[in-house]
Amino acid sequence: MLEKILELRSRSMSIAQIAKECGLTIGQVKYRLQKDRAKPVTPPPAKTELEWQLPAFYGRDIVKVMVQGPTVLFVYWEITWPRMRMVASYLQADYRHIQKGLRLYDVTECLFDGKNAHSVRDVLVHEEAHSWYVNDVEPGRTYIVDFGLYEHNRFCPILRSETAITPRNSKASWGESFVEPVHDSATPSWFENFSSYSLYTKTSK
Amino acid sequence: MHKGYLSLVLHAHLPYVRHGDRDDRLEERWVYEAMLECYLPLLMVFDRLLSDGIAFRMTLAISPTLLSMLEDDLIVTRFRTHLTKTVELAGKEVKRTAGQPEEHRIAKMYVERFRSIIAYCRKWDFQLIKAFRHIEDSGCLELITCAATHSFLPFVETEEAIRAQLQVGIDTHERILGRRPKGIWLPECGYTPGLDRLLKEAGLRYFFVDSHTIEHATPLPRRGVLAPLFTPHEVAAFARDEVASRQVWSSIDGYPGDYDYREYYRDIGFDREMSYIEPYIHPDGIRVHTGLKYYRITGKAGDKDWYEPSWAREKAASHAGHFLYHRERQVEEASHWMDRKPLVVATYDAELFGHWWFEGPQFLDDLMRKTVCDSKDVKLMTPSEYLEEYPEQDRGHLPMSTWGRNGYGEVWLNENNGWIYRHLHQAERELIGAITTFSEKKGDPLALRCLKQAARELMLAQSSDWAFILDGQTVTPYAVQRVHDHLVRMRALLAMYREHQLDEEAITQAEADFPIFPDLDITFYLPKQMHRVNVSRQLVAATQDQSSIKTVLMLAWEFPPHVVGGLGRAVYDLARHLVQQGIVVHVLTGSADSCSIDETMEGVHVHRLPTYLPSEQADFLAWVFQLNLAMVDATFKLWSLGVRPDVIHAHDWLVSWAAIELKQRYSLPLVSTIHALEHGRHQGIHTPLQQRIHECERTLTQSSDSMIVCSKYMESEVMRLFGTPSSHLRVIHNGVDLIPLPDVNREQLRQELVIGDGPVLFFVGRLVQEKGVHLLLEAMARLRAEFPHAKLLIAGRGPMQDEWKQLVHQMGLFEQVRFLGFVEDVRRNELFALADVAVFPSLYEPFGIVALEAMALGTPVLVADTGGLREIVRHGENGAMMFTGDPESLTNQLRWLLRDPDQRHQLAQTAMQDVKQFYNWTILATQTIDLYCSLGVSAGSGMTT
Repeated sequence: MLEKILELRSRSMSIAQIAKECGLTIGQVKYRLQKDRAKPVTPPPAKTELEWQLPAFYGRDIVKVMVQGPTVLFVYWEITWPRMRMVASYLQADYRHIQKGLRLYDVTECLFDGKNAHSVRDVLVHEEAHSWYVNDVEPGRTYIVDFGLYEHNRFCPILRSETAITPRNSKASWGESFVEPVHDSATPSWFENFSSYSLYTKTSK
Repeated sequence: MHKGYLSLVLHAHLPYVRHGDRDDRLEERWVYEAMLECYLPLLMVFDRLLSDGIAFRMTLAISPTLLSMLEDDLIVTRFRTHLTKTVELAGKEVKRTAGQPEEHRIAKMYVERFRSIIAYCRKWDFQLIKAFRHIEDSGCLELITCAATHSFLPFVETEEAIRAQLQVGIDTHERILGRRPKGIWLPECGYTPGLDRLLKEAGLRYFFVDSHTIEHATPLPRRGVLAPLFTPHEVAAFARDEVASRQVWSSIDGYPGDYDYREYYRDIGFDREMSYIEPYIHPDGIRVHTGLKYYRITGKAGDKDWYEPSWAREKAASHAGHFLYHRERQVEEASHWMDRKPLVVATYDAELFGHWWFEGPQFLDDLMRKTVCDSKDVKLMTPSEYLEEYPEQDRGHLPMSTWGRNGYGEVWLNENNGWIYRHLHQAERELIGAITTFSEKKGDPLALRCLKQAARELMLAQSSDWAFILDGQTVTPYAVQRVHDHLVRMRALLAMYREHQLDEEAITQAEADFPIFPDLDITFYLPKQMHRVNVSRQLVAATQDQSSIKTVLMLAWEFPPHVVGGLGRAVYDLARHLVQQGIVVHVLTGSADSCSIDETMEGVHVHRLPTYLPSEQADFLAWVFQLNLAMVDATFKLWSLGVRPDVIHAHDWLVSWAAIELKQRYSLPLVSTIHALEHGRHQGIHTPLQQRIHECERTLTQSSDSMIVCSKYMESEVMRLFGTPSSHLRVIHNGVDLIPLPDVNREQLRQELVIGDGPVLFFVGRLVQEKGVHLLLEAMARLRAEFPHAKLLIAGRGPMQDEWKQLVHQMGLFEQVRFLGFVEDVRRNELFALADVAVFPSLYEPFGIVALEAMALGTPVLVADTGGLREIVRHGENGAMMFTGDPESLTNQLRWLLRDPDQRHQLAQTAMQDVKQFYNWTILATQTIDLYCSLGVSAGSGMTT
């Protein structure tokens, strides 16, 4: 049911519309969304007697996707103050109080242009969260994740990750063939979606 | 004839736990325990086999951190102390147990065992490295490497940092062991697609993965896990055999759990009275394992019985037989269906043997002896030898995978340790940046030492051991401290380097604290994306070569060739004329494509940016905001490549968010050109969207240091609507290029358009209400009787097109009026040349560039007395003017012009002179540069000429 709610939500439906669609009350929909959001946030390391000297953030806008396994992605992000300020000015609202979320695009073997993903899924995150485990993704797929905010139930992406490929966890089917890797390492990173062959993030210092 | 092969592979690793400042770190004991209980007993097994003439085969990976500790004098000295104390304790135990025969026998076993270990150590002068090299020289032992600090490679962010982990590992291996390794043990068998490219580049021929990695390869491997598979970049992946692993590893039915084997958890360090054991445990009284244990496992629970060495020895021999029997069965079965001899790869942590499983080395001794001497089916072989025998392998894609819990990354990435990666990734990027700067600027030796140490600190922080410990929640504070301290030190070192405040004492101290990888080559951290580096150099060179020249960052939502209105065209003309006067211009604009395109148009650097939301999927405002985000990010990238704008020049409200953000972020002066106002376009503000845009315009005017408007009319509008002081406003007209008059064959063109030989009126522009075309149609109707052959040509598209076409029909003007649709520039110029009068009866016109273009081409113009048109045209001197919105006035002026060709000619000549004098882009660009410079002084940005 939660999946369905999230899917409808990703289609920009209001809570009331979703409730009607799913035959639930508005309260039930809200409860389910809340429960989904209540997944634990990565706790900060237990403070020992150590005098903590690492900065919590680095002043760099980033959404990073890490593959924990075939069905779990770990996403961490940092949105800098200037970007928050810009977004708040556009949305004409207090950044802290705008609903935030992650939008996962399945871009397996396609040159993603913002609208040709095989599937799109939204995950709502806590206001204060800076990382999130996204469960139940598909094995053997290539994902791109946007961090964004909801503006009148419409998703407004503000930062995009690079691609991440989940490992397949089943045997190849009969006839699945070998795909040659991209040999030109100078190819810009967006090209890598195309081959489904993952290279490491290019450093842009 | 053997039917197949068995590769025994051990992986020896300990994190770098050398603590030079004190000798009581519990973690450092890991090294001494492993040396005494595992590495030495293993070496002695190999030594015995060799002296017995047994040509065994074993592959041993020794991690570079462990190698570094084994060759470290301080570690060796401390190990000798540890050994002496342990022997002393064993001696005391012999005395203590004198009256208890069962215990006494075990105590004596330890004394004898230590005696032979000491003898072996003396033979090699306590240099285990020498012993390993000696055995490798025999050809029976193949030593391979590991990532420099055993980092979990799939979670390292950058290619450069992975390359450094591999190459520094290989270099260290070669320096200490004298040979370049052919293979590598990937830490935790952590593989991810693309890693193989870097392994290949490093000259490594093979590595190991878990069995599911091969089983889930694409395409389905024909030989399963019993032969290696080449990765896409042709490095061989050997799969560890699951059954062979389980027989040794399994906590339920693995060999080490046998009741006759020694019980690890009953150590006299915990069992004896404190007063007795105190000298042999941690000085703070923390009890530790001493390595002296008296019990056998005995059973699942309850009391433990005394250890019986002869039983354990027999058990080890029988387990070795059992293990070999199963490998023989495996090989025999596979030989029926395989086209080559199968290879079973059995891989284990080296520390299992001797340390956890006391009898493990004995088991290996028995196993290798039996296999070499007795087995008819199985032969021992190293992976290198197998690749020599079978150089051709199938190729496949391997999925990301590990040998950890559940087969993927959850051990090293979960709620207990996920927090470290944000910091590690940032550290990688910062280190790469600093090293790139260093290599470009050729820093001094102290700076090199500083960066080398920073690289060491990063590598030490990257050890997968810390994440592993955090997952297991064992010595958590130690792991947290190590990650934290290395990163803090690395950041301090990089800060020193960046701020040119190298503190030699601090650097020397850091080197002394962690003296690992003395010859570390920091160039492994240099990006290999040469094209990117080249682009950066070109851009920097372009900026630096002419140091007095200034850089302008222009923000424009549209830019040729994709232009809707006049804005894109005006920005392009200004930009290229600025370039002609030596200014560096970067234009950020939208891209129609999903990728970013950088190009140079007449010297203007144009960066076409994609947006997260494609324009067709978002409403215009949402898309425009996305473009603003992209502009900010693109500026950040340009900045990091060395581009340093001196001024931001924004065009209209559509780029206001980015303009204001960039002004604040980089403390740059902001110039905005207001091309048109929402209020003017709609003769007022009527809708919420218009209100929104109106407010954006207000914010932009308030945030700009100076504003350019194209006419006095616009200046007064901005002052009226937003209260902007006139000191902030500057009128700089738009310009036109004087191009040669097109060579037109008028007769042919007239025939083509089917317009006969009467006088021609021409309108070009967007077909929107404010252009006043309906007035022109009315005038045509009124003049029909007097000039029956006059024709009106209307070029352009727009929302009013249908309505106006219908109007033509209603008025019966279809003979007189032609709608031409959109025309290219060349065609448009031909039409200007053909026309007797160009008519622009606009209701609102901030500037009226099109009238200027007509004037530049020598076409007489008739314009409405509005906006910028009023400032361009002086009635009766360089054109004719009508009262705005008045069809009667338009009719009269047309009549006047059509009747008097000489007058028309005179007006056109004056107009051309005016264009040359007042609307010349060279002059206008100079005025713009003057404005930039004036801001430079007041804003203190260094914009001086």
